[in-house]
Amino acid sequence: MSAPASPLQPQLSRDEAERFVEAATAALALPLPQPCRAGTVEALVRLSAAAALVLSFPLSERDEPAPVFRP
Amino acid sequence: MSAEALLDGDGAAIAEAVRYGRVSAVVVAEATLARISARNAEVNAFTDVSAERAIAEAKAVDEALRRGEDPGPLAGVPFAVKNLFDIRGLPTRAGSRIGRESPEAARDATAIRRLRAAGAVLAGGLNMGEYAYDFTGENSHDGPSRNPHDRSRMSGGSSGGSAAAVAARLVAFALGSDTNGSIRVPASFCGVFGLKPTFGRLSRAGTVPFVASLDHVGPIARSVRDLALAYDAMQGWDAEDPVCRRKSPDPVASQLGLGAEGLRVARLGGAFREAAEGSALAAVDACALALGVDRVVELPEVARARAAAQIITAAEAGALHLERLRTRAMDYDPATRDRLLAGALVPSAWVVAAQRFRRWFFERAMAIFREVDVLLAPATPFPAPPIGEATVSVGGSVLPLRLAIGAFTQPLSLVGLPVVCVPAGRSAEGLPIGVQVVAAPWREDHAFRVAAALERAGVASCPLPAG
Repeated sequence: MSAPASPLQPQLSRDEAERFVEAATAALALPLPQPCRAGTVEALVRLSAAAALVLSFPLSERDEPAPVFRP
Repeated sequence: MSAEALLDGDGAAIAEAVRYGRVSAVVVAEATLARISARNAEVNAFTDVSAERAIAEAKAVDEALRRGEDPGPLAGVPFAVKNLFDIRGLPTRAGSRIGRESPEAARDATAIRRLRAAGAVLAGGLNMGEYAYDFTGENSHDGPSRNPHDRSRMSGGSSGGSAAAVAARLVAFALGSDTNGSIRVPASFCGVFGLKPTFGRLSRAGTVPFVASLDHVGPIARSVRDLALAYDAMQGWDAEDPVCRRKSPDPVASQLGLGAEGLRVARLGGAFREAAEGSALAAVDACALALGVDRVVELPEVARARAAAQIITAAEAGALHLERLRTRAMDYDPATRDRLLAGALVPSAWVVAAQRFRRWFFERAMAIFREVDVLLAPATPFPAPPIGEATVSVGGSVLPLRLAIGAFTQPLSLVGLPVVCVPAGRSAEGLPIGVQVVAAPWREDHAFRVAAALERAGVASCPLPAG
């Protein structure tokens, strides 16, 4: 029996991105000045859309990244 | 021929005139400095002019000739560099406010030292998008580089000053860097030739890094032979760049005459045509027609390749800047700052997935290069937009401009392919637009041969800016 498929990561909503930014900046001791807040959240939402696209691609566990990428 | 007339031609013609004693390198350097002083304000390409140094280097070339020595294939040819290259005696700005407060560089970047050894004369440092995280050529600290073909329009970036200085005939060639398209985009917008070599081919030592996994350096020039001479002079292993491949140089300047004969050339279809405006497609089609190419091939998963490049870029750049972001976020260009902050927060699972996908995409590209030698693709989806524009309409949807500009360059640099960008088209408004001539890894010679064939056929050339 195959394992049930895990749900795909969706793009973060604005609210989710705001909560993530809050938690991650605290974890990294990265102060986030007020004028940067909205732009940072917006950039993270865009990156999460990119991540959703990449993470939804079916790579096998044997597809390894090259330790040093050498074309 | 006067020094002034020589400056409108290419660097190879200057070097020949200097080597045969028809003009001295000092006279060429003085004419270059006078031209920069008279015209730079129009395009805002230079941030630093190294006048004394240029004269001293030109004198050294003239003295070498007097002693009967060979000053090198770029004897007396004036060039300039994107200001993320270390220039001895200057702080390395990397387009930033923070960088200009750094100590003066103790020595030149490897690329500059190698060009100097070939006889080239450094005229200064060039404007760029802050820390190279840019496709527009805009910069809130130094003002935007302006497109010489329409100064209300973007130069493209991040090597905006490099392309603007070359297109405006201020120097014969310039150095830029390209992580996701930062040489090819401004080359396309400004109507000049640009080379993004194979990842690991040219040393990046002595430059401010942006994304270690994706950074390349390369030349921008007005002729294929200048591009080749500059590239050849910079080749060779360098222990100071950990990704520089230990490989002997493969010079290309002597191979330009071979042309496209015997090379299998195809157009890239699919995603490389869907988002392109008419002028971008017409430029590719003109190249294909000149080369007798009717074959079309497709790379799969191009949108995912772009997404992977975005994630790797944001995460590596954000991590690199983390300490400065903690203390000096408000000293960054607002156009760069928030993307770096977001990048610093990217979860590792996203980055690792992007790096794994990169390897998968590389194998698909290699499968194509078993069938063909060279691919043609648009360099940018459209010609230079007006300075300050933030969005663009592509195929009915409105996209952030900075994202849209890199649609065709970003997937190719993700897997390190060598690309010569050739100026091969004009829009209805007369703006230049470029075509990417893409080869397999380590086969820059193939891309150069096709670029030279297109130049000889009159399809690729650098238009003289009006006025």
